[in-house]
Amino acid sequence: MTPSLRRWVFLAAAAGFVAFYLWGLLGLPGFGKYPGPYGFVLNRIAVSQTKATGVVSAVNFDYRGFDTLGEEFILLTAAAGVSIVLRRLRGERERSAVDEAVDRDVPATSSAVRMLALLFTGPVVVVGWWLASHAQTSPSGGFQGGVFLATAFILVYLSGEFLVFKRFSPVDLTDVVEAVGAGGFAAIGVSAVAMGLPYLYNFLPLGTTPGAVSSSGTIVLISFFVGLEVAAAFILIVGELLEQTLLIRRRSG
Amino acid sequence: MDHLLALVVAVPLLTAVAIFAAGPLLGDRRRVLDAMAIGAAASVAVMLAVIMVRTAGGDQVYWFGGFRPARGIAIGIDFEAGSLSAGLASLAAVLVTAAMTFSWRYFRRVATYYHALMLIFLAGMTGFCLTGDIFDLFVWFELMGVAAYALTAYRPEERGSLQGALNFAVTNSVGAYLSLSGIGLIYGRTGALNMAQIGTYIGRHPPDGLVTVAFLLIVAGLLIKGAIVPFHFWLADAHAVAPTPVCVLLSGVMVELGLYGIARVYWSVFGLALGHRAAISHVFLALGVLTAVVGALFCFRERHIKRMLAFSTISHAGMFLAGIALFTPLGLAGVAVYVAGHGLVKAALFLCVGIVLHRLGSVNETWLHGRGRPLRVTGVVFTLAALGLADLPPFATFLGKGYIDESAWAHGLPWVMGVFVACAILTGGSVFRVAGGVFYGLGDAPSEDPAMAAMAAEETSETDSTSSGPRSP
Amino acid sequence: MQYFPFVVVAWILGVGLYGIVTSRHLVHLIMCLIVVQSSTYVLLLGVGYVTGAVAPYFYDIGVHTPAVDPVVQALALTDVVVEAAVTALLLAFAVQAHKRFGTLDPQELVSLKG
Repeated sequence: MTPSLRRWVFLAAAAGFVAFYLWGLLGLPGFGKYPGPYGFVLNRIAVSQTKATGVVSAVNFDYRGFDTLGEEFILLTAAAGVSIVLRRLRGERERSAVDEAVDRDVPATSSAVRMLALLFTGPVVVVGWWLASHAQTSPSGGFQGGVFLATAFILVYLSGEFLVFKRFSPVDLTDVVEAVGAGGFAAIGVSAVAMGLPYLYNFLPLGTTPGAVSSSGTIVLISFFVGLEVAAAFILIVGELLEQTLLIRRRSG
Repeated sequence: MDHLLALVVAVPLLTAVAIFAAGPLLGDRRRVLDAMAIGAAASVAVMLAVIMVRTAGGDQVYWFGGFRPARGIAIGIDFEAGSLSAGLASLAAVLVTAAMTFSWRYFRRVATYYHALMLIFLAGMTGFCLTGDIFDLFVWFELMGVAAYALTAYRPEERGSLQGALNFAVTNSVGAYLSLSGIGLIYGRTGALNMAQIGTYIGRHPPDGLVTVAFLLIVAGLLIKGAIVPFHFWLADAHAVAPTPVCVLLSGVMVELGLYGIARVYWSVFGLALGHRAAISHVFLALGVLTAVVGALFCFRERHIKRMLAFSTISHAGMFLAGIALFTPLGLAGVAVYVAGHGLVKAALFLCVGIVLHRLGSVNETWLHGRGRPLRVTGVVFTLAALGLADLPPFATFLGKGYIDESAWAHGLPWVMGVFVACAILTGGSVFRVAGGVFYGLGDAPSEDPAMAAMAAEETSETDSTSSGPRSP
Repeated sequence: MQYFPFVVVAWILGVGLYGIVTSRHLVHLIMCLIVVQSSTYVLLLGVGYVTGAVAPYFYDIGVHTPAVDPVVQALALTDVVVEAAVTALLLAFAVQAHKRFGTLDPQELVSLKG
């Protein structure tokens, strides 16, 4: 089968698949006509039941917290996989960590980029921290906050200082932080079991004011742990990819 | 409330995390962590056995977070353990324990991540078996998958490693996203994610395009995981490059979980709504038989022992699917017993291959001819396992297949029996050929496979042993 | 048009799958995988929308104000972050493949495996 003929076959197959999928999609109630009941029930009861005004976070960390636990571990596993695959191969020797690769023409970082990156690092950290700790009130939470926190570290790289980046995030420390983040979540669940309650029961005091920073019990705590883990995972991933491209060179000859 | 249901997932996850955290700190005293990991897996196996015993009195249900359903609407996630699901999860736990114990000596230096990944893999498989929520099913499916990709690519020094892992990862990911699309569709119709709740809701109305498409999409993802034709290509590639203990798990239980998923989704969710039971049964039966035959044929002409075993798994997966497709309790029971027997037999075969690879440095059947003679115990175990693979008594595979055959006969489909026997002969025969040739030097060396000869020059031992046996010519 | 978002969903999925199958560059293939998952996000979020409703955050509005479905938002939110990491894993595979084989063409990689 010639390549172009194969292309046409694939095109036809893809078109057929789209038509098939559309046939199913047209059975849906229509955009804007969500039938419920899951979403409506949760919207009604979440605030009074969990004292959190951010229902999405309540769903993520309380009602469907077990799902989120699984997803968090997928993140952990993927980051571990990146480390495994990109580790130093036999036959490759790690060069001394000079910032510029010999056979690569790296333009010097412009002062503007450097300044902006350094300027933004602080605010990004603050915003990330704020996001991770306010899951129960506003559209935020561990996942968003964690990504922001990781971005702060990447800004450090952008400002031209990869070595500084590495010093801020030694691999072992990020490993441990990541593990603590994921483990903390699982451990909170187990603490509930130790008290005779179902796994991931929201056993901490819920507070009286919905949406206050200290309310909603375990939601805040879980969100914090998730933030730690997501931040550590992305720092690890970016660090490994950068290390692979910049530092590791084949033994010549 | 039986907290064991939560602990069987929490324990491996927490242990994995402990290993991640403590690994850099303990440095050279890694053996402590290895022992801890094996202990965790063994304890999970025990817990699941207890759960399985308790399900004799009816399914065990566990609501996470204490969110019990209100007026038939589920607001949380639950675990619903039945004998079949608990049994399958126990098999997974037993195989993980065996694989990790094997790795104690197999890898001279087991890095931190390996055991942690195995435990996470176990947690994913257990969660997949026990869950009663369809999105949760997807989450554990993904976790299982990602852990498996990482484990397959565990030794990137091998040239072939990445191609197999990449193929595996892309194919299974596409499958996962297809399933998620189906889940989104059915959620859009029912507004529910609990499998029992969805099943009740859609069972009230006749099936239409949406329900059909949703079912097919979800099943497509699971068929890919179950290595059913035409989605079977990734399995052989993944097996060829994954470390042998990981192959034990891929062949022994992960593929079977995909098929279990199909059975679960059909029985719990779509069965009532779809109707057309006979038609659906015939389609799955046809797919199963096709897969069994294709797998058996490819198995026979393979010379790479691990790929050969992978194709025999594909063949058996087809037989499992055919057994499930009969939609009878007897057929399902037969499949369960068959899966258990097959998992253990396959594990034994792979572990023996692992020993051969470790000591002789090759998995090329042609090159290995006669060289396995010094490995007496391995040879005996391998031959016995080959008997089990060929579905001969007194192995559980014989029993399981017997039940399926009986069910097929009752269904008026005696030719299914004939197909099974033929496939068993082909797959069992290939493995016997290996057993006889490699370990006892019987007969002539099988003809050289040109692709294998080209690859033989690059074949390296997947262990750390640098002073292992002679390299392939 | 009431079904336009869902037409987009089917289109994106089809385009992504076609891209994966005919790809000649591993990074392109992985990006197509992202496209495929994007279609699931659009599906999930599209399914949960309620016309005329607000976001499900009741900090300064009454609890009984009609709001959109929070469940799909929660699902999509975690999925996005997790998918980024899984993509990183696949890209790591691609980086190593390039280092070892010198090529990023999936069709060539298939023939190299032997």
